[in-house]
Amino acid sequence: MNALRFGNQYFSERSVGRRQFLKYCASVASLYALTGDKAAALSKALSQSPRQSVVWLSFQECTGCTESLTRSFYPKFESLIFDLISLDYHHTLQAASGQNAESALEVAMQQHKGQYLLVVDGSIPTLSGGACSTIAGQSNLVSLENCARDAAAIIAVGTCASFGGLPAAAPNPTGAKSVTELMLSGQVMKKPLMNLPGCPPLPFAISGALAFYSAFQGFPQLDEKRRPLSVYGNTVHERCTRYHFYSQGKFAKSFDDEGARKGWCLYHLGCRGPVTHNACSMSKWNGGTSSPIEAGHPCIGCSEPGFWDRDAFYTDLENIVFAPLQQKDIDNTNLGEQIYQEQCTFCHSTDPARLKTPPEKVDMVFENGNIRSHRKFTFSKSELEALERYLIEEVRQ
Amino acid sequence: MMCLSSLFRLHNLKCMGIGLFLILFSSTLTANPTRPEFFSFHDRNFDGFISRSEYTVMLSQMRNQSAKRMMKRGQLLPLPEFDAVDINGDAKINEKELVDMLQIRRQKRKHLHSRKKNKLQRRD
Repeated sequence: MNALRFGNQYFSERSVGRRQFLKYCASVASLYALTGDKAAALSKALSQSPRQSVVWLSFQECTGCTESLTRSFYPKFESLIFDLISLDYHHTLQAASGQNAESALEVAMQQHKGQYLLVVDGSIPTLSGGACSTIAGQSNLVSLENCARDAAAIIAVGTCASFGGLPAAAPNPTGAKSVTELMLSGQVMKKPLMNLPGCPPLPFAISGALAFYSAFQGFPQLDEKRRPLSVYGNTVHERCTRYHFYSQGKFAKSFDDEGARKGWCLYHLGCRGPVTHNACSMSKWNGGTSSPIEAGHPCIGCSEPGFWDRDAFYTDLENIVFAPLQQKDIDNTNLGEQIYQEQCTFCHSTDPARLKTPPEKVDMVFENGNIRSHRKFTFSKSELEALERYLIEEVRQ
Repeated sequence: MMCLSSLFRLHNLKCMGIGLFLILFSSTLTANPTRPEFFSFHDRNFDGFISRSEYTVMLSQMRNQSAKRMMKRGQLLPLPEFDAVDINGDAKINEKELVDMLQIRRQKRKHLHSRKKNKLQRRD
């Protein structure tokens, strides 16, 4: 048995192989782009430090993130929860239920006060006093507030917890909010936060983040959306297995044409790879077997903010990017909004309904030239008409 | 004679009084040439300038739902930082600086439109 010879007895008692352990450390180190000394420190810290207490709260979610975590392959899920972290509370995975489960949470929070890592998946409903989702008689918001107060840090797992996701899609009947939004609005205490968006996020990203925090008691370098740069630093497109077809200009035009059968680029089938930051093409899924694009389906951009509301699936990215221009020729409402938001708001109220000039007199005001600063701008007749139409719409609302 | 001289004095005093009144209150009757005119809704203290704090409030108001939605779709130019607008670096934005910035934004928008139009035409 090639049990661990270094570190404490913990691993040897549980028959965690040295090779298996080092493999995991190496993969986490490469994922988080750690230098040689940091990688060694990671393996040392993981083998010697006590297991990190983790409290996992699930709110408005589909259990997809937990499903993803259970499919973790480096390390295997059982190895992760029995050897590396102490998963003290998890609705789906814990054996206890009812009072026992809730008391386990309380014990964990008391024992590891200020030290436990809080993992949140799912968005938090805020409307109707949080009545849309309750656990043990508490609204999700109250549960989060209570647990966040004494947590050392928070990891928002999945797009719902990171950006709102599906529950926050229009018309957002539950008033679903992400952890970031709640922190910014002051509804939840501000704590160090890392977002791991994705629907679901890569299993490797979750287990890697937990391992990194266990070892270094901190987060790796994050981007402006608080995502680890090592996982979300590149777009799916940049490391796509079909990238060479994109470079050659070979595109599948439909899901059953010759191009699709030959594995050509899915860009014109609505692939969001070029605008989606994730490591799907690099790390892949199901033990590194494949990724959605490799399997023949375009990327749907699940790890970006605005997922669901942003645009329609299977629509060519170019049609979306250039949509404003195409629409403007037919319907100028959007042009009016653009002019108001981009120009007028600097001198007038940001709320167009509060503009003192009546919408129908806006063109007259411009043509008269009575206002000094207006004289320096020239707007075409169609632009002024669009602005008028937009203002009329806003006043009506 | 006495009567006329007293009337004359009274007339002089009246003239002096009116003159004094005009001197004292002329500043309130006519605009102060050193004070610039109010030009923006966001100039909360009506001093004719947009201060850094006023500009910050303005930016936060500009990041409303509609603007955020448009920004996500790339339909809106990013909001300029205070220092980028305050060209002379006096920590306040005057009318000229604001108008100049808006004109630059307008030119940028026109440029973007023409680029997208060309790209669309090439694609067609």
